[in-house]
Amino acid sequence: MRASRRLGQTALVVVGALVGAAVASQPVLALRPYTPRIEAGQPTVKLSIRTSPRVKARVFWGRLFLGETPLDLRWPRDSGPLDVVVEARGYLPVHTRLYTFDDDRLSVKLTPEADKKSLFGYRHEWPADGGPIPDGGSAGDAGGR
Amino acid sequence: MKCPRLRLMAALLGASLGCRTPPQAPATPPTSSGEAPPREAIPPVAQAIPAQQRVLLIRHGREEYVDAREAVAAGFTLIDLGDDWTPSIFQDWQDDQGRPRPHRYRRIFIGLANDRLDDDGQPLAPGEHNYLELYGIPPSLSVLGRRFRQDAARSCEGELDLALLAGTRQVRYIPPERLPVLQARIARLRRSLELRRKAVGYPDLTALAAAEPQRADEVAEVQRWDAEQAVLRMVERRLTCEGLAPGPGHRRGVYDDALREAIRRFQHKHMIYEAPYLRPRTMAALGRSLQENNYAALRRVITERVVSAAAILEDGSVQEQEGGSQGKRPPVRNLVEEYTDEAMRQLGLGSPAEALAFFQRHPDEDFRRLWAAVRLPPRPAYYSDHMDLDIVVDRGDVWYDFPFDDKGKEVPQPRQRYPRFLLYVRHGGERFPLISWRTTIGGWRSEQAEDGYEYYRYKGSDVGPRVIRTISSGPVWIAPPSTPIRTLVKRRRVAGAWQSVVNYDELGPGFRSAYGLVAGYFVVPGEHGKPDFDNGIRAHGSAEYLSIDSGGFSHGCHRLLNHLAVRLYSFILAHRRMHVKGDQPLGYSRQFLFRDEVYEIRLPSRGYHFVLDPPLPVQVLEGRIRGERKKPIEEYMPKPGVIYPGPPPRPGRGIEDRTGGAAARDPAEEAP
Repeated sequence: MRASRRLGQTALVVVGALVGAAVASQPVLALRPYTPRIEAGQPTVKLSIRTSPRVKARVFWGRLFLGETPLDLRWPRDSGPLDVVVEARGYLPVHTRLYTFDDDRLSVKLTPEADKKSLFGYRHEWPADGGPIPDGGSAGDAGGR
Repeated sequence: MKCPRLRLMAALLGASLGCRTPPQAPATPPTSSGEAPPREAIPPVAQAIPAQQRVLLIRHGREEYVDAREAVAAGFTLIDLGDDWTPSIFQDWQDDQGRPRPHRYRRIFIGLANDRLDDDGQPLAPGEHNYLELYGIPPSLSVLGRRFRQDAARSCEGELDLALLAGTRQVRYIPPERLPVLQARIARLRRSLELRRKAVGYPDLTALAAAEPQRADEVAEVQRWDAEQAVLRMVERRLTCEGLAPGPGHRRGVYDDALREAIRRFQHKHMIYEAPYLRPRTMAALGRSLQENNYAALRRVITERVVSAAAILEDGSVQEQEGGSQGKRPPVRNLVEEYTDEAMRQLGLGSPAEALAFFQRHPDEDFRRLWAAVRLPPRPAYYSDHMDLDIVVDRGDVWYDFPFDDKGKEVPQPRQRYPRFLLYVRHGGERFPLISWRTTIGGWRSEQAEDGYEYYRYKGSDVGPRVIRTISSGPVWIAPPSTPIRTLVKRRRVAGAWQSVVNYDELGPGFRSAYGLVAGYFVVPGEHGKPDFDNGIRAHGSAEYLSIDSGGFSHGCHRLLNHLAVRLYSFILAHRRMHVKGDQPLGYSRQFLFRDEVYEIRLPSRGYHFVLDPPLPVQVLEGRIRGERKKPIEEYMPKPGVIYPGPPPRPGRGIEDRTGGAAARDPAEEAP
């Protein structure tokens, strides 16, 4: 499962070879959440992340673990957006974004893995004798409007 | 009051500064229709002027600083050469009530121009450069100054054969996978020709070809290969000398992806509109010296500063298009060239050597705040604070037929006339165009249907009268559900790791946004209190710059080169009555599934809006309908070669879904 693989990778970064492969199964609370360095007097914003339904979800920013929901962060103002991944056991991971130009409250709707058909972009089932599924796209037509 | 951000010069010049005048241009050139003539000279300055009050003036070849107020009173135009310059559309303005309306994208624009931030507004990695002129963001003067000084210190240029590069029109691209076959063939031909040459005693292959014409083609093929190899090696050295060496994986002398990427960087650095190959414009630039190219960049940068300060637009495109003939009236002056020439001359930037000397005199810190006074010729009499302007879009040749036959083979749809975008002014009983630029119209595009599959759909460009009421700088494009999902996700480095993210590049705000740096919204004005009818058509800047001049298609919008779109809307805002609305909060989000993971688009703003009052008239001409169909197909069309699970669903009918869907139909019929 992707979530546990990611957890394992992040944990390895933190504790390295000391714990070895066993770390992959460590509870997430063993990870030390990353906090940004904030200079004295530097303007900051408050970032809040909640989930719906309310479950413990882990929030990652790249390879950095930010914490578990409900999560409140203090972040340097105007330091660019944060592309985060919110992961909870039994739910599909959600890639979303926090903004730092002002306080930002993010409520992430989590979808159970079993309900992925309800999401836009789910491809309807292919008829059994329909042949190979084509890619469907043609290069070069993405882009501007 | 809707003055833009009042900074240095605005505070300095006080009441003499009109609200409509951007802060970087507190004094625009007079018009030729009777404004008070400027005083002849600026009084000599007896004492040091405070830094915030002084502007650079070059008199008799000598730099001096003079009082800004005196310069303005003497009829000079003040050009902002500072590193925190932006076009007026990215200034922090005030609304009608005098409340500040900060522009969220301003900080990023300045960071990008100064090689300090990336397009997300995060710090740029050390040594990285943003080459974004093709996207409408020129480098700052201090960035250019570093280029001049660093290149002056390079010793590699003397080892380059620039004449070889300048004399080569283009180099044939051979995909690397085909290279071994071609190399083997050339080796075989060379052996055979050399054997023959030695046997008959000719001094070289050229003599052999002259004496034995039946071998001329083979000799030409070998010689062409040798010439191309020599050029390729020189291209590599030329790029390396400039600090743009092909990256890892490049094989010397091979026209591979790494070399093409280096060529692309070179094209971006030097604002060359060409695909990433060694084609004529690229070869011409490679054949120029480093400082010649830097000088060309400096001229482009000064052009944008002058255009902004003088609030002008006329760039000679009408004459180019019409061959100089505009009826009985004299041709519209090319003010962009005329004013730039004048500014370059007065600033003592007449040659690459003079420019280098300028940057040697002025280190980076000088550009934290630097204004220069130049005396520009009067603007034409048709200039005013509220000009009688209107836009015409000529769609050119239009095909509605599906471009594939029954067997899925593409059917050519040639065009002789391409779409054009014109801005007209009415003055003194005449109406004439100020600019005439290439643009795009819609065509057949891929759309994501609700069954999860992609189909073709005709995304046309509406015809008939419209208006632009809203101009959005740093616009945001709300991707409709019909947008192919594969285009909405990308990989990028996030906090030290590669991560899949929503592709905000396309959504904006940003120079890669689908709407570019700025957009004007075409709408049918609502009557009797009803809202405007918006069919999703805009005239906007575009990062798809090659689609504009090379006959590409849009999804219905009229794309403009980003720097021209910035000029256009800055000009319109300077010469039409308008209201500043500022940043438009949005709070939009939606989720979609891609490869078993959920992606959430979050858009906090629509962009920074200005509302024209009255709106600007637009007329979209139908153009010349080619082919058999006289009306567009509005349904989804299956893509050739794709097997679908069932019949195509019906397209969506939301505003963004409709984009162009009502092409060639009277939009008033659909107006709410």
